[in-house]
Amino acid sequence: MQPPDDAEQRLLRLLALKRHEVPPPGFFDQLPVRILVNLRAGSEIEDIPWWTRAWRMVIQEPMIGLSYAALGVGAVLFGVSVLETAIDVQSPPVGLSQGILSSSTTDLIFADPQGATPGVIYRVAEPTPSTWFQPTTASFAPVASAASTPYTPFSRSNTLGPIPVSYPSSR
Amino acid sequence: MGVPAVATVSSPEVATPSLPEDAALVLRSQGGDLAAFDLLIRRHQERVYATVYHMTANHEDAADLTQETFIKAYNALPGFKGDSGFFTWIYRIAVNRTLNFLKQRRNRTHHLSLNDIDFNAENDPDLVALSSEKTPQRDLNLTELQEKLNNALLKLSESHRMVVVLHDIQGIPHEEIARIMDCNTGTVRSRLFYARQQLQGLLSDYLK
Repeated sequence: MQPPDDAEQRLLRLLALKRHEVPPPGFFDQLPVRILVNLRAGSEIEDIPWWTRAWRMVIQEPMIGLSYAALGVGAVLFGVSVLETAIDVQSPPVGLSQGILSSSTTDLIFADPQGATPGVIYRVAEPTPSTWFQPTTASFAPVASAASTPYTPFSRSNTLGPIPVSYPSSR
Repeated sequence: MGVPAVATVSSPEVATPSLPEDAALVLRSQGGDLAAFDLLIRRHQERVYATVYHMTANHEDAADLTQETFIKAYNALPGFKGDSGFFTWIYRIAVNRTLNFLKQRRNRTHHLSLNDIDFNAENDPDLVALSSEKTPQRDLNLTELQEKLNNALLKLSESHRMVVVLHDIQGIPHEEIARIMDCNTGTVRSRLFYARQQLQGLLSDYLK
């Protein structure tokens, strides 16, 4: 077995081979010229921003660029569809709320409205926006006290229109 | 016409060129004198190129990096205070640029683009001694041996390879390497020790 020093000496001798690797003839004559030409042209070695690198990559590797473009378009389409779904969830289809109301209020009769007071005119309020899992509910709010006015039956539909209130004549 | 071998530094005196001359050229270059900078390039280009080339094992990359190093150095010259020699300073730029380049190249496929071995290799006493013994490399020609050696070097980490290149190939002393790589001498010695151990393992067939 050889002593370590000998192996190290052999390694150093082997590494000496690297000193004999030479660039093509004339390289060291041309290099200063190229450097000075670049310096005179005012070129600077600068940190290239990422968008410039990306653009160069797209130019040099069109297939990779196309792949990224396809991914981007896909991401945009996905985002738009998610956004549309979110909007739909926030505002359920009009038909749904109308359906609930229409089924129960086509001939809406205040047979036993909760807390309804005789002589008070009620108006069917706008259905409150609901989430998709909660049924749309209509609320009723008092419009005006008609205690002093004769009670006048009004249209019992859920359409909002002029509320037929008759006021006593001024005289 | 013989082509000069890639420059190596055999002694600290050679490693640090006469400072007044460099300093004077630096002063003139700082004033925008491109002729002075041209002299600085011609003085240091071979060693800068050799360092980068031995690190990358690719001539084209080494040529680009050497060019970038000098352009970067020229643009940074106004900030050069002369605390260290121009030699150390430009080496530091070259080393940092090379290490950054190698980090970026790590994930890319890389092919060797080795330079030719000059004719003087056959007269090198070290190589003559190496090839005159009964070793496996007798069956290999120098080009194949060169490729084996470069592949082994490329298996080292960048920092370990850099120390081997600077010390064992370029002949730069430990203290100068420590200044170039911005670490202490102990770190340089330690890296050199482990790098040699690893190389001996990788090239064991050729070191018997």
